[in-house]
Amino acid sequence: MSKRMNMETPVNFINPKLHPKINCSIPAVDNYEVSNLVSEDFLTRSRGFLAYSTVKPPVEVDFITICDVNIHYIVIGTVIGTQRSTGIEIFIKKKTQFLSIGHANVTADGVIFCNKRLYSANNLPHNIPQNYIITYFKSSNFGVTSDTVRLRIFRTEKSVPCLSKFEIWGKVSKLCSNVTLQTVSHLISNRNTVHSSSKTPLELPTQDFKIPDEFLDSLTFEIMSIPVTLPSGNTVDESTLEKFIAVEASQGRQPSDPFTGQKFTERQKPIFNGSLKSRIDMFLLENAHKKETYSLKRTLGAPNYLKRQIENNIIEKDELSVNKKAKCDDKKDNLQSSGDMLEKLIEKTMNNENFIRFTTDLEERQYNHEIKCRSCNMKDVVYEIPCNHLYCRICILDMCKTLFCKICKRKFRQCDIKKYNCKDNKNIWNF
Amino acid sequence: MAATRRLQKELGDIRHSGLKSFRDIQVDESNILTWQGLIVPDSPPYNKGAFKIEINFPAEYPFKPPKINFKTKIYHPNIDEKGQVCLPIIAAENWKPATRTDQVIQTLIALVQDPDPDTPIRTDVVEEFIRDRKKFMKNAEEYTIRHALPRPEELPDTPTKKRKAKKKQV
Repeated sequence: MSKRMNMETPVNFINPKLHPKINCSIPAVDNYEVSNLVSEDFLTRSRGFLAYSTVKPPVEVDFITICDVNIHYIVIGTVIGTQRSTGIEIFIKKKTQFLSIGHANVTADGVIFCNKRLYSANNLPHNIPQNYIITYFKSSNFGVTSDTVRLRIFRTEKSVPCLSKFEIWGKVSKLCSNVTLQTVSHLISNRNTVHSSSKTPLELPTQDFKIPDEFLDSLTFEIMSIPVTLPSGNTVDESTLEKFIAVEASQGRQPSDPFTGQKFTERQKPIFNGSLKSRIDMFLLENAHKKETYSLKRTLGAPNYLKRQIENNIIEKDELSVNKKAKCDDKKDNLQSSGDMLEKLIEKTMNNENFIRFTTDLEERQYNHEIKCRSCNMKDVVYEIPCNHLYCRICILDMCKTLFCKICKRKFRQCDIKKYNCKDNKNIWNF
Repeated sequence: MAATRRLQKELGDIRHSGLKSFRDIQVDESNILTWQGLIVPDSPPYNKGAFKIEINFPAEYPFKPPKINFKTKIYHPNIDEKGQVCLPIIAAENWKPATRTDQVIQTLIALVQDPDPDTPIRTDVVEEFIRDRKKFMKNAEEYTIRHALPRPEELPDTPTKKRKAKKKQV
């Protein structure tokens, strides 16, 4: 019963939910394509169709509906901004040829073609736009039933052909099967539920809502925010893996796969699963209105921290154990002030014969404020090369023949030479 | 809490699978970290009764292992008078986060039915177990009859019960 009741009022068959099709070979202005007229998006739909500026009438557009429609009335908007189509003719398809069922000179914002049998000046369709002219189908002798309506714009008023609105209101033809009728009413009721759900998203029952298993962490079964795939093929969240690594470290073990216990190596290590991440984010976006997703965490970005940590752990495998021992030894010394410690350590390292001082000259220069050429002691404008040695212009030009530093014999490139500017020392500029 | 969802899933899975030797799983709705259940061994000398156990999950689960305690007295080389169990799979040093609770329970049941003299807790019992198996069997059976809980009925009506319990849980 309800299905029939649905069909008692005429339905707009150009409603996007009823999958209408549009055929039009005319080029359109960008963003004003003819498909706008059947777009689901309200804003796109209200933009309408505007033919390309060189197009001249006549322009024909075919609208194909989901099934045969007993047409009650057709609403056509003909004005977009200052553009205005003034001559409209309507055809319907009967077998293979198109029959004209009405034409109008539009002087208003649009035109409504009505079926003479159903409507009259005193009995107009409901909810029709204001300021549209009313006209009637040519003949009421034959039923206005078709699945294709052709609209021809045969005249415009100093403008390009345009359409701001097109609606075919009617009922499913009586010649159609029950299945068709049910499909149409189903599609329409779909529209209704969508409409109501957008109004009251929170009251919707959410029994059917289920997070796909692949989005869940294999260990904690929480939805993942940064999925990483392990060498064993399981996928866990970055935070899970971090916790696991921390616990393992407390047992004195190196990072490993929580499932197989296999240690991570350069070739076998967790990999950030970007495609899964994007699917999870997409899923969360689509279901953002559902209660279940409210408490779920969301993040942006790649797991830099984890990557760094694992890499470090792999490289510093041996160093770790050494460091641990060192830490134990130093525990007693911790009581002393940290400043003493630091000085001692620096002294220790300086005296170590393996310690190589790269920065001697730099330090020297910083502490003594000696800005001069290393080879001729000229306190002129000096130039710096990557080994931090300073030379005057003459010496550096001389060295450019060999490209070796005179002091440390290190190689440098001509492009590495930089003019040395020292803000603290005004000597350079006082010359 | 990280443990919640995992425990909910594991509990659901265990209840759904219907383990024969581990039954009457009770979980306080306000605290999913503590489970209670009945171990119902099949083989002698423990097949005369049922044993109540309590599984305590740490908040860090699954990164830290659960602890299992026997609430019913049992005469067993690997379970002491306080109910502590020596189960290698849930020892901190062996624990793997991927280990599921049903695996732990299976291992526990296997240990109960087949004592492991290599990891004993009660030295007197294990000596008896090694030296005089008959005496051990006799003692254990008597102890079971005296202390253990009555065995729950066999499984005819459990599916509906389980379903109800599951609904409540959800």
